[in-house]
Amino acid sequence: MRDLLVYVIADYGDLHDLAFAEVKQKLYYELRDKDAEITAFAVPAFDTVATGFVLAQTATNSKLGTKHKFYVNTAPRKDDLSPRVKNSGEGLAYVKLFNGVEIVAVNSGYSLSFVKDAAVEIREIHCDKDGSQFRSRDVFPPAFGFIAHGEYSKLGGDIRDAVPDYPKDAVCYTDGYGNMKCSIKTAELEKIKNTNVTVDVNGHQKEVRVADGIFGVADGDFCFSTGSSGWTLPDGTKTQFTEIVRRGGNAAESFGKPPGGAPVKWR
Amino acid sequence: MTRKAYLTIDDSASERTDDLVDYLLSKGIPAVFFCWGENLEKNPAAMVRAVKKGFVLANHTNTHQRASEKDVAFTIGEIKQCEFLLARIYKEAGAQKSHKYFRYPHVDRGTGAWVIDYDQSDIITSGIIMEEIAAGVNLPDKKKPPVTAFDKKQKLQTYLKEEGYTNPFTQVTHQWFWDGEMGQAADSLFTFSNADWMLQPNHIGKWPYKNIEDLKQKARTNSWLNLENSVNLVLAHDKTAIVDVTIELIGDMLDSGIEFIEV
Repeated sequence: MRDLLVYVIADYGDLHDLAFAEVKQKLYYELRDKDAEITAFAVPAFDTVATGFVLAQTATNSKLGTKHKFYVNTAPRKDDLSPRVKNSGEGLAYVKLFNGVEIVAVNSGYSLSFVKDAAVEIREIHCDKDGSQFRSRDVFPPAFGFIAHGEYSKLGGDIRDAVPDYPKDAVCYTDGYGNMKCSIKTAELEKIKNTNVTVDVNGHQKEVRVADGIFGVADGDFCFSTGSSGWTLPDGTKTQFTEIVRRGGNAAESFGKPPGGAPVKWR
Repeated sequence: MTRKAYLTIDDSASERTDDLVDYLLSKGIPAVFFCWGENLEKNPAAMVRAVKKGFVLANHTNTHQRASEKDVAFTIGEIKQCEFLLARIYKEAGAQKSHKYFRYPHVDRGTGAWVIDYDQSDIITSGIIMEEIAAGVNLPDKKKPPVTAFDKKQKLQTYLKEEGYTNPFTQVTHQWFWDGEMGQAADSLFTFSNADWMLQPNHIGKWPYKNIEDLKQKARTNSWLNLENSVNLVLAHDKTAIVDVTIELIGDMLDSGIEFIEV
């Protein structure tokens, strides 16, 4: 086991994008006195819901504790000129989870929403807000370096209130198979279990079977069930996500590839 | 009859630190480099090399902010960040770092241009410090700051002392240095600035010393630096654009008979 495992979650493009290479080399530079491994995950551009989901799924379930750090940067939606959620997207944030995992993330949109309840600390990081077009490469890695070495003097005040709740009854993340992980409570599905419902996502309506799992429906059909994602907090509170899948197919494509945060309605 | 001086160099590292270090080595001049953390990160190899060559690195905060314009917690954070980066440089150089020396950016100790409490010092001391040191703080407001600024300065001094920061320049001979708060402070001040920074492209022509000959004259005519049997504390800078100026000024001090000594 190395000293440190760092997950980079960012919307720089695909994993071969130059930005990932540049950011990773800066992070390795900051960690040059540690035996660190840095692994990157790409999320869709501007998709802070997907970012938040990926972060929470990996960070809250990590058993590596203080040996596991996260570096997260997804830009807030630049095509949305309306006020951002709780003015998010401006600053760099530090989050420490109940399991010892530490996160350095741009507090954009919903990037930190899914870990909010698992966090024992959510604090501002004092960092330049300008000086580079590419802050994720030029400004944020040194701040990450301090924190990864246990030097916390860049931390400012509590900003938990600046982190919005994650959207309910929405698509959160689409995996490589096109399965759509959604923030619909499993209890809601229990009420309509073993029935067919019309699901409306992203302007597309499909008949979907509410079942125990994908093999509860015929090949090519849609299934709405409890999924494989979620976590349990120290007080026993369980968060479990539901999934819309298409057996033998790609549910997300059928629903027009909805972005993170797209509302899910059913009747 | 001798004239001696400690050489301190602020703002390292620059893109030309190696040139400065090579010059000092060639002349057998010891020096203490007060480093910015951010600059250390830009050119750590040069500072690792400087440590390996026997030079002393010290703390000049992480991002060179004025203490008078920031709260105590921020400045302490800046000191901690720089100390962490210095420790890493020493580790990479394979050297032990057992000292803690610190100089405030712009010599702003929390009280702006009011570098020491002039009301508490004799008029001669105040005059010397106002002329030689306070000018370099480069703040338009030279008035006495409010009580809160003195409180800030005291809190920062307390922090520095509790953390083990000391003034290593113990052989300075000028009584005004010791009678005022400078010699007793946990941070490191100076008794003479070579004012090399005035020849930086963004400063040149805006200050009383407009060329290198002016600066040589400044050193040659400074009464304290030229006092026989004195030990002085000289401030110079490590800035990419003026390293040649700095080297020439140090060389001129050597030529004038000043001997540089170790801490």
